[in-house]
Amino acid sequence: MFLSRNHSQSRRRARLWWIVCAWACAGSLVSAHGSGPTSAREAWELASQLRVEEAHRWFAAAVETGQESAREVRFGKAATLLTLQPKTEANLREAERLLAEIAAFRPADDLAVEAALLHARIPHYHCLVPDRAEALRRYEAVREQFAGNPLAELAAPRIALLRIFGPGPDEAKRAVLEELEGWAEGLTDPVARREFERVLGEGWLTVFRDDVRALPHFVKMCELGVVRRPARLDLFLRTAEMARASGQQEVARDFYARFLEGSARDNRARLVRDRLAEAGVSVPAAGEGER
Amino acid sequence: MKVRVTREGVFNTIGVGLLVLCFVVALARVMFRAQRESDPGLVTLRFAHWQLEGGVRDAMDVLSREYEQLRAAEGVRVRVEQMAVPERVYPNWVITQLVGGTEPDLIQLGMGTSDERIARYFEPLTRLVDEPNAFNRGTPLEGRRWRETFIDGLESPLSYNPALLEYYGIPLSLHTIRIFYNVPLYRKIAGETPTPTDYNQFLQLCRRVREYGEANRRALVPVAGSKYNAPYLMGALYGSQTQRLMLESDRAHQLRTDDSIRGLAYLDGRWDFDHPAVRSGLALMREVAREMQPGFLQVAREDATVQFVQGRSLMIATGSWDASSFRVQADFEIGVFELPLPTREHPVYGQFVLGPVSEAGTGTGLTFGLTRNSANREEAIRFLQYLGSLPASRRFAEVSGWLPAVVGVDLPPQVRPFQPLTDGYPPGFNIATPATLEAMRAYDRHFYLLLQGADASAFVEAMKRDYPGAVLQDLWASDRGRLRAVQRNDTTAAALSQIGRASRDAEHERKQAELTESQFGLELGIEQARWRLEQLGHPPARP
Amino acid sequence: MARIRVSPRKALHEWKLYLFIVPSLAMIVVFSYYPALSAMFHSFFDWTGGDNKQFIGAANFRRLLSDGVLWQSFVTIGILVVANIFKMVPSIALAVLVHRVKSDKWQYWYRVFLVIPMIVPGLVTLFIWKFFFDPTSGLLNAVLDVTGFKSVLIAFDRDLLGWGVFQEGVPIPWLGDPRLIIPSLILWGFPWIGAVGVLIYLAGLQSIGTEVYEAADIDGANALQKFWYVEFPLIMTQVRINLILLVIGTLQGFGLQLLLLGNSGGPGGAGMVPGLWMFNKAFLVGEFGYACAIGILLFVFILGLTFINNKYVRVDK
Repeated sequence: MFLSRNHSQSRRRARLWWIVCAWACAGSLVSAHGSGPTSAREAWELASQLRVEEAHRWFAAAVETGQESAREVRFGKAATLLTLQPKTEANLREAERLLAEIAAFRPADDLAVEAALLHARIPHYHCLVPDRAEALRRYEAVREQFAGNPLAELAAPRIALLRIFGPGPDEAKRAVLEELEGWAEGLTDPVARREFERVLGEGWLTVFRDDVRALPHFVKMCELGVVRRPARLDLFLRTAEMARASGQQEVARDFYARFLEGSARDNRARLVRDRLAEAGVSVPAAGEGER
Repeated sequence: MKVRVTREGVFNTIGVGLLVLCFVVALARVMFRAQRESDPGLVTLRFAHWQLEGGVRDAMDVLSREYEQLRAAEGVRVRVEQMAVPERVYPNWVITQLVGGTEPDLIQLGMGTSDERIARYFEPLTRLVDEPNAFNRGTPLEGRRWRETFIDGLESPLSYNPALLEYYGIPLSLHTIRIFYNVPLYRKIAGETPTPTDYNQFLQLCRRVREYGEANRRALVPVAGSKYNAPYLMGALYGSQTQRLMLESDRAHQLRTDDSIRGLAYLDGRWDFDHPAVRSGLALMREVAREMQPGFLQVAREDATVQFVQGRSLMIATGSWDASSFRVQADFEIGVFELPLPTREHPVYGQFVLGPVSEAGTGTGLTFGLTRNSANREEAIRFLQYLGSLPASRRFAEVSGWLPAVVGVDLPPQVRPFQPLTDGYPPGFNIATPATLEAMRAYDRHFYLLLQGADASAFVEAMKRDYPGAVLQDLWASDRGRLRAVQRNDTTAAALSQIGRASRDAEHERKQAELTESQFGLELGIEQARWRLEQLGHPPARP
Repeated sequence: MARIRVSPRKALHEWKLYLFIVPSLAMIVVFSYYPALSAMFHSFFDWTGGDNKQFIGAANFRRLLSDGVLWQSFVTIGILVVANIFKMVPSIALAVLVHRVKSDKWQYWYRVFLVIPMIVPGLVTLFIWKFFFDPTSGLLNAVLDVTGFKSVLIAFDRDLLGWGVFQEGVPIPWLGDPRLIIPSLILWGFPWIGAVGVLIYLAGLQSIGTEVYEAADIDGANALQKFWYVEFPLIMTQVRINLILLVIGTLQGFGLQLLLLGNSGGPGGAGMVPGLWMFNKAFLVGEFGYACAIGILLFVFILGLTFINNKYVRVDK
C-alpha cells in the first residue's frame, strides 16, 4: 500500500484489510477476556457480591430462554434490576411487574412471599420519590395474604417503622405503639421478632423519650440475640442505661457487666465502670496502656 | 506487474512494519499477561502500598527479607517485591492494575478500592481470620483466632466490609496524636522540668518559650501551626469541653455521639454556639492559637514541619505517622508527650470535662487485601499471616517507628509514647468532622474569625448563620448514603436468601443474619432521621 | 481567496490518505469529546462517581439556580477575568519595547531571557508564590517592611479602607484574611509578563512592514501614537486570540486557588471560583452529577463570552 504508486490497488486494499481485520480480532479477543455465570447459583453468588451487571445478564438471558426454574430466574432478574446502574424508572417498573407476578403465584410459597416483600420495598426505598403510603399498604397486604408464613413476618417491623415514624401527631403514635405491642407475641420468626422489638423500643425512646416503655423491648432484643459484636455491645450498654434511668438497678448492673465482658477496647468502658461503682459494684480496669 | 521499489516506499514500509510489530507485542502482553522472566523454582510475591514514609518502606523491606530467609530455611525459594506507589496516583494505579489483570498479590486497601472492586478483585479472608495464625506459635497469642489478635478485632471498615459481610483486610498499624518537641531546645528553655501533663503546664511552657525567644533575640514560636496540624490540637481541646455536653445530647443512651446525632441535636436546640461548653471550647482554641505563628491558617503541613525541624518552634502536634519523618529530617532529638488537655480540676475549663480522653477504639490502617488473581495464593496468604503475626509486628514497630496493629507487642522505646491510652472517657464532639463536608466547609470558611477580635463572637455569629444549612445538607447526604446501602442490600439479601434455600451453608447463613441486622439498622436510621427532621420543620431529604 | 469547489469523487479519490487522520481524530473523540458528552449525560443523574447513578432529570440544574456559593464564585471569577484583562498590558508593553530595540543581537538576548523562565514548571512557580505570601517568612512582607511601603498600606487602610488588616508590627496575612484574598490572587504573577504572550505579540509586531513605520514617521507620529495607531491595531488578531484563551483559562481554572487557599476557597470562601466549586462537589462531596451540571453551566458562560469576544473585538483588516 505504501510502496510505489505502480503497485496494484487490489494488493494495497488487501494489505489494508489485513491490518484492519487483525485489529478487530485483537480487540474482540481482548474484550472476550473473562466468562460469566453458567447457572442460577453462580448468578446469585455474583449478585451477593455486588456484581449485579453480570448476574443480571445471566438472569435476563435465562428469562428469554426459559432456563431453569422460571419463577426463580424472573425473581433474579427483578432483584438485579433494582440495583442495575444506571437506575431508571423503567427498570423499577419492570421489576415491579415481575415481582407482582411472582407474588401472585398460588399456592403461595417462600418465593412468593419474598417477591411480595421486595415489591413493597420499591416504593419504600427504590423510587426516586418514595411513596410510603403505598409501601405501607403493600407490607400490610403481605402480612395479611401470607399470614402463617414466618418469612412474611419480616413485614411487621417495616409496618411498625412506617406507622411509628410516619406522618401524624405524636399522641396518635402512642395508640399505634400500644396496638403494635400486641403483635409481638404472634411473631414466631426470631429475626422478625427481634427487629420488631427494636422498632418498638426505638419508637418509645425517640418519639416519647420513655425509657420505661422502651426498656422491655430492648431486653427482649438482648434475649433474642444480636449477631455482630459491636452492635451487641451497644445494645447491652443502651439497655443498661435505660434500666439505670428507669431505676431498675439490677437490670442495669447485669447489662453493664455484659457490656464490660466484651469491651476491652471500647472508650466507654471506664464510664461504665464508674456507673457500676456508683451502684456499689467494683470492676477492675483492663486493657493496655492505662494511665 | 513490476513492482518499483523506491527509497521512500521502503522507509514507509519499515515505519508501518514497526508500528504493527509494536502493536502485536503490546497486544500479546495484555492478552497473556506476560510474567517477568524468573527461575521456575522461585516464587515471586508482590505487594503494593502508598506509604512512602521512609520508616515504613524500610520496615517492609526488612520483613520481606526475613520472610524470604524463613522460607528458604524451609526449602522454599521466595522473592518478595515491594511496590511503593505515590499517594496521589495510587487510586488510578490500583484501578489500572486490577482491570488490566496485572495486580500484585497483596494491595493496600483504602484508596481506589470501592466495595464493588473489592468484591470483584479481592478474596475474602473470613475463614482465614477465624483460625489461629501459625506464625503466632510459641507466642502468647498462640491458639487464638487470628482476628482476636488485632487491637480492633478486625472491626475497622477496611478489615471487615459491612456491605460485603466478609473480612478482606489485615491491618499492620494504627496511629495516635501526640505533641512532638525539640528535646535540646526544651532543656535550654525548661531545664529538667517534666513535660506538661495538663493544659496549665502547657501554657506555662509556651510562655517560657516566648520569654526565651525574646531574651535570646530569637524568632521562636511555641507551637508550629498549619491548617493541617492546628486542628489536631485545637480539636482535642474543644472536644475536652464538650464531653459532658455530648452525654447530655445523647438521647439514645449510647454514651457517645456521631455526626448525625450531633447535627440533629443542634437543629433540635440541644446545643448551640452560645452553650457555655461550646464557648469554653472556642475560648480554649483561641488561647492555643496565640501560641502558634501568625498566619498559621494559610500555611500547609510541610511549612509547619519545616518550622519545627529547623528549630523555629519548640513543638508541633501531629500523628505518630510523622515520627519517622521528623527523626530523619531533624538534627536534634525528638521527644513526645500526650496532648495537654484541661483536667477536671482546672478552675475555668474543668467544669465541662468528664475526664481524660480514651484512645480505645482507634481504628487501624496499613491494611492489605489478597487479590483473587494472585498467582501464588498460598504463598501470599502465608506472607500476610507473617506480616500480621506477633514477631513480625514487633519487627515492624522497631524499624518503622509506627505502632503495630497486633496486641501484646513489646513496643520499642521510641514507639511506646504513641501507645493508645485506653483508660479514659469518650471524647466530646467537634463542630465538624471530615465526614460532614458542608459543616466542615462552613467551619473552614469562618475559622479565621475565631482568631480575630476580643472573643469568638464574630465566629459564632457567622456560624449561627451558616451552620444550620450546612448541618441539614450533611444530614441529607448521610441519609442518601444509607439509602444507597439499603437499596444495594436488597439485591444482596435476595441473593443470599436464594443461595441459602438451595443449600444450607453456615457461611451464607451467617452473612444473611448479619445483613438482615445491618439492613434493619440502616432503615431505622433513615426513618428516625427523616421523622426528626420533619418534626423540626425541615424537609426530610433534599428537595 | 476564492473558494475552490471539489467534487466528492475527487475528494475520495485518495481515500486512504484520510486514514492518517483517524488516529488523531480517534484520540480527540476519546479524550476530548467523549468526556464532554459524558459530562452532559451525567449532569442529569445523581451520580457518585462510581457505578451508582440514578436518573433525576433536571434536578441538578434546578439546584444550580439556588446555589449561593456558585453565583458568588462567578462574581469572584468575574473580578479575576477583568483583572486578567488588565494584566495583559505589561506583556504587550514589553513586546513593543523589545520590538523597538534597534540592535538585533540585544533583541535576540531579550527574547532568550524571556523564554528561560518557561522551563520552570508552573507548579513550582505557584509554590514559590505561596512562600512569598507567607506572613512570617514570606518575601512580600519582608520587602514591604524594608521599603517602608507597609506604612503607606497602613495609612491607606486606616484612612480609606477601614479594614484593619494592615497594622504596625503585625505580619500581613495575605491568604489569611478574606479581604486580602482577591488582591492576593490579582497580585499573583507580578509583573504579569507571560513569555508566551510576549512572543506571540512580538511575532505580530515583527510582521508589520517598515513602510508602515516610515509612513507614521512622515506623519509626525510620536512613540505613543505609533503604538496606538499602528502597532496595537495590527496585533489585534493576537490580542483577540490571547483574550479568548485568557477568558477561557480564567473561567475554567482553579489550580491557583486550590493550591494557595485549599479546597474551601480560603477564609470566608473569598477565593471560591466555579472550577474549584465543581472540584469540591465532585471529589470531596462525591456529587459528580451536580459537578457535571456546574461544568455545563460554565461551558455555556464561556461560549457566551467567546461569542461576545468574536462579535465585538474586531480585527481591523
